[in-house]
Amino acid sequence: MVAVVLFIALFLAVLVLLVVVGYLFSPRRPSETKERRFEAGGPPYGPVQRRLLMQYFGYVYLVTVVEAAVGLALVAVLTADAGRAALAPLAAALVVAIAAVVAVVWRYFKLLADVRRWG
Amino acid sequence: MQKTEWPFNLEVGRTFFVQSEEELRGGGRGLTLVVGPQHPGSGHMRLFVVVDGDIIVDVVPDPGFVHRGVEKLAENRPYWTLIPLVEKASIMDSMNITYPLILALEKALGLEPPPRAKYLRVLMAELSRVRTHLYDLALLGVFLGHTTAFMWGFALMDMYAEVFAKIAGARTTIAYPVPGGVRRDVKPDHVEAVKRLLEVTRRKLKDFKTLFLDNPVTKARLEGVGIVDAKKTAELGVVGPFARASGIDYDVRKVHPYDAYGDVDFEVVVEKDGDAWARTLVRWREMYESMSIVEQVLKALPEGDVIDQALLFKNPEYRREGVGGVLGVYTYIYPEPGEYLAVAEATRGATLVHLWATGLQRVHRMRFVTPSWRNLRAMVEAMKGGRLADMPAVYMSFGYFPPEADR
Amino acid sequence: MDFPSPLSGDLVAALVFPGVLGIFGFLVVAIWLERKLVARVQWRYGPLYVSRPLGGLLQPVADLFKLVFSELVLPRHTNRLLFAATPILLFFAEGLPVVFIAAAPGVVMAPHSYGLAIAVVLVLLVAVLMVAMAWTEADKFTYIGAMREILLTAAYEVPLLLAALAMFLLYGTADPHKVVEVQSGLWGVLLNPLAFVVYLVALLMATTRFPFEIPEAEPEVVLGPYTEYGSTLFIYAFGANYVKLYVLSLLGAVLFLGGWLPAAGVLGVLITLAKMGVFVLPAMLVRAIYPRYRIDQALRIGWGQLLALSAAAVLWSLLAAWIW
Repeated sequence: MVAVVLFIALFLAVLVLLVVVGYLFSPRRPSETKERRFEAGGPPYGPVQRRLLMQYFGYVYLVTVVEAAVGLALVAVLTADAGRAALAPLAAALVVAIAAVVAVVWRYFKLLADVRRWG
Repeated sequence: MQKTEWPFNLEVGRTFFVQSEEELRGGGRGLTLVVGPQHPGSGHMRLFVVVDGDIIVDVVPDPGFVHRGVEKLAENRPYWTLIPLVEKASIMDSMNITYPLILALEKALGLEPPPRAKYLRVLMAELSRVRTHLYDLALLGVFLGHTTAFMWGFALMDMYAEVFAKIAGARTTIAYPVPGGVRRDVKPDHVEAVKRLLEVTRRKLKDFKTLFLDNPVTKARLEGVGIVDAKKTAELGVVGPFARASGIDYDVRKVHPYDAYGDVDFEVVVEKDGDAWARTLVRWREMYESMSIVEQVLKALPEGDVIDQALLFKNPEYRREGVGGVLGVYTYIYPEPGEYLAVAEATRGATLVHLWATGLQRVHRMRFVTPSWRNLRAMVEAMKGGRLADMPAVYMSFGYFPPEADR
Repeated sequence: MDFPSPLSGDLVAALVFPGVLGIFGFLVVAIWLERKLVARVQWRYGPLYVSRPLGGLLQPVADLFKLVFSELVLPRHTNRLLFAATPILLFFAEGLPVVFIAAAPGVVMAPHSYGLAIAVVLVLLVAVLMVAMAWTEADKFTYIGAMREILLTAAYEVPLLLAALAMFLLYGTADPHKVVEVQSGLWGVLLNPLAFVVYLVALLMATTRFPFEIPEAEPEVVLGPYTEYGSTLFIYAFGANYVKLYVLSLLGAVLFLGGWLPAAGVLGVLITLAKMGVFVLPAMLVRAIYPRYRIDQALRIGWGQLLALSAAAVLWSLLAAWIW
């Protein structure tokens, strides 16, 4: 436990120290141009926070569901008893789960990639 | 709200060179990205890219950041100083970009280069074509994230620069042709250098192909991207390899052969698909065509002077002073009044020079139309409807070179 | 476990390897190695002038000093505290999984029976901070970069988890010591090569290496999530990916390459370090070989070939476990 605390404390201390050193000792000449948003050389133009529709959100929906299933599988695998007797039901469950995921992805693969449907 | 500069207080699409055709649509929903001028993917220009998610809804180009006013400057200086002025539009391609000016001036002055000069011009034109294609391919590589293609392309280009320095005395802006001939003759060791250069290029291009063109990722990024079909290509007035990539079989070198192009045998490279991949392939194959032209030229290079007899005759000291001594002759010959038009195939497409001469040593007006300018519209059209990541791919697949477009 | 040093194993782990010194040392060596290797392919020298006898190895150190002492600009339109804090947190969080990974017997900060599983989960959690950082910067390019980061995470997360699952299934444990013990006969890469391939590709995606360097694609989104940063904060924002590479290589070495086997102690640590090269070197070299995919192509690869391959890897593991 000491090691973990030491690691975290030292790691964070180094990181913060470097920033503080930079902040204190680096030359500073602030100007309005420096502090404004990067807009490829021009002044900031238009708002940033817009409704940004990424056409690939299908994948994000998919990952939220699938990841939960995989997480459950991980827990099941790690908590399973050793030996062949315990392996059979685990294997069956895993195969079913993965087959289901693969089947769903296979079925809707085209739809996921079709940007016109997600616009 | 901080004070905004022109043109940011105005609506995009209302201020730039496009007025009605390309006004932004549906801008409320999309995000307007200002790409350039300080952007790694813009070059010396600015693109207003409206993206709806990842899809490019509209692109409004804002060129002109490197406008030098070549046409206006040309009105105020003697005609023999136009060559170094015009070539700055496209420095890699300086031989080809000055070609139409030279042809027009020769018409105006009534000069005719001797056969050896004609062959030498073709030699340099084709070498600089290879070089410019290498430059464009290298930039296409780095726009797709392939730094090796970039480095290799530039390394190869540097060998061309060395050979140019040997032959013409300058690495990049060579100003090699003059009305009535070329500035310097080649010597046997120059010929050897060119031969070695071609051999090295062929050898290195093999690796280049393996690593870049045959790369599945490159293909995935370019195939089916930014398609411009033949009809649209013609409507938008695309020229050069980019028109040929859409199946338009047009090459000034073949249609109106100038200088020694009538004597050499080459194929006009045409692809059908009109996508970024086709545009890349056309340029790739054109490099090999150019190298074959150079080889033919070296084989058939005639002996003789490299400056028109009419000029030599005016300077009796020529034999002692060399070609440089002839150049002073221009100060006492005058172009015939009239209009002179010349077109030549530069690397990125047909270049046109239109001269109005009034009998003075200053031309009254010079119209200079460069290929990149003509390809800009098509480039912008090809970007629309693509994904944001296609923007750089389409950009460099058109080999767009802002200084050449802005002149 | 006896360790021939004045420090106990866990303290060595915290301070030297895989702890603080290892992380910063890796940052220097990896950046140098990447530049040098890629330069080799590209007919260049790479870093040379800083410490010529060492082949320019100290160039990243010089860059670090230069960056630390360059002006720290905090843009006015952002939440300045968050703007400064998120890269620090990101860098820190990327390094956190090493707490649970052993570099040699006893050289681990927190021995845990599910250590490797926790490390995998921690690696996946970090994407949240990357997005938070991009969001704090409030810039159009970082905004798109953040979106791409989310999507890329969506592409590699499931294959990475399945690859880890396949190996845990084979070993029957996630304790780093036991995992390595099991591999004393055959290394994991030979027990399940499919999972290894999936892991390697997922590693490239997770650390946004080429051909998946999509969130920070230069010609499109400038530097993606790091666009607004300069000075020390840029080191953290930019270096976070190298720390992730470090963590994933270490994890991969333990999971697939038998960790410190066949030695232990100091030699074991060195062997682990060498085995990390199997993951680090390809990750460096791909920069010279591949352009980048588009985000939709990366998603298709993740949910197409990579998912199929990882499902096959799990089935392979089930079969192997059955036969074993």
